[in-house]
Amino acid sequence: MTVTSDPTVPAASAATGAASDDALRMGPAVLRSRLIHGTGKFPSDDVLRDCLAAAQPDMITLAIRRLSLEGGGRNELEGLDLSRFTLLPNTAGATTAQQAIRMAHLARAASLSELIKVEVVGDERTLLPDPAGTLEATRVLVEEGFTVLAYTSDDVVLALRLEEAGAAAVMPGAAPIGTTLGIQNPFNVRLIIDRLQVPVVIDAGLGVPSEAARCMEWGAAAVLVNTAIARARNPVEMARAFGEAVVAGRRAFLAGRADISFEAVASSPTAGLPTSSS
Amino acid sequence: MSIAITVNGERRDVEEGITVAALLASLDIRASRVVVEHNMRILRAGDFGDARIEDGDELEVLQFVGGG
Repeated sequence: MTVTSDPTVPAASAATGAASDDALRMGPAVLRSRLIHGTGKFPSDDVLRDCLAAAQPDMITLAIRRLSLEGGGRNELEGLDLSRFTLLPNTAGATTAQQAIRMAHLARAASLSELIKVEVVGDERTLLPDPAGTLEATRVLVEEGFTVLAYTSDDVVLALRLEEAGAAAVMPGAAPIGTTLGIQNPFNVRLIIDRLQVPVVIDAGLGVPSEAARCMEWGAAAVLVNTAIARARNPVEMARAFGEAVVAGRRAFLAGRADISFEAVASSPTAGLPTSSS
Repeated sequence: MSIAITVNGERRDVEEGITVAALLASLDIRASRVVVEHNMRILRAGDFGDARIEDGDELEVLQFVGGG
């Protein structure tokens, strides 16, 4: 970790990436790391723990499910100290607003926090979100005092409606959940980032770190990654790579890209060339 | 005297007058890691000891698991 001693330069670190005052705030959550780390589908508890150590996220996602009463039900969170993270429970599995609201209530009782990722699936095969159900659940839960992070498609107007409904963040998918197809509709993703005032978190479908970096360069507030890490050949190294990519992308966004020119502009001086001998 | 209840969708016979806390203990479940819904009402962990289970009651015992 490098910390500059020059007081005029904001402190930066490899772990947090950008200036120390560059925390992402969503309701009660204050995140230094802009990589939100999923916890599903990991090959083992140990691998998940090592991934979290490598990627150093502040926020992790969780699902809520029935406990196996016969014992032996595997729980990959068993060995994890959840108190070290800001917990973002999801409503995954809900197909109606009512189910999502019920799961949000259960998650609140379990996490003792009002943070919820609203996820209402509208189609089994693509797991794409149900627009009406997502909007309805967001409205109700915001009204009840939840800090709602709404998982949505890349539809720009729906993203705007979720913002109007009081979502603390809007989370468009890059591609369907678990596909690792990468950013399928970059134009819409960029429009959503540009049009919304609330943080935009790119969720679902990312495959490789360069895609996460790209989202961050465009001005996404954060990215949420699960399958791309959990199902990588070496999940721990992939977790580290995503962590670094998010830091790099955020740093680049804050730095501001150079202007695009459609004519070549020499990088080396045009003056001072040695005289030609011919 | 035993009563029939439903826990996580499965029918179970338990002792009449049993509390949620006692039910969890009998199932070897650590109360600190679960959320309990009793007839669709969420119980606070502090209320497990007082919550008596009646014949026909439905309980859901849930926990956080890995997810995205």
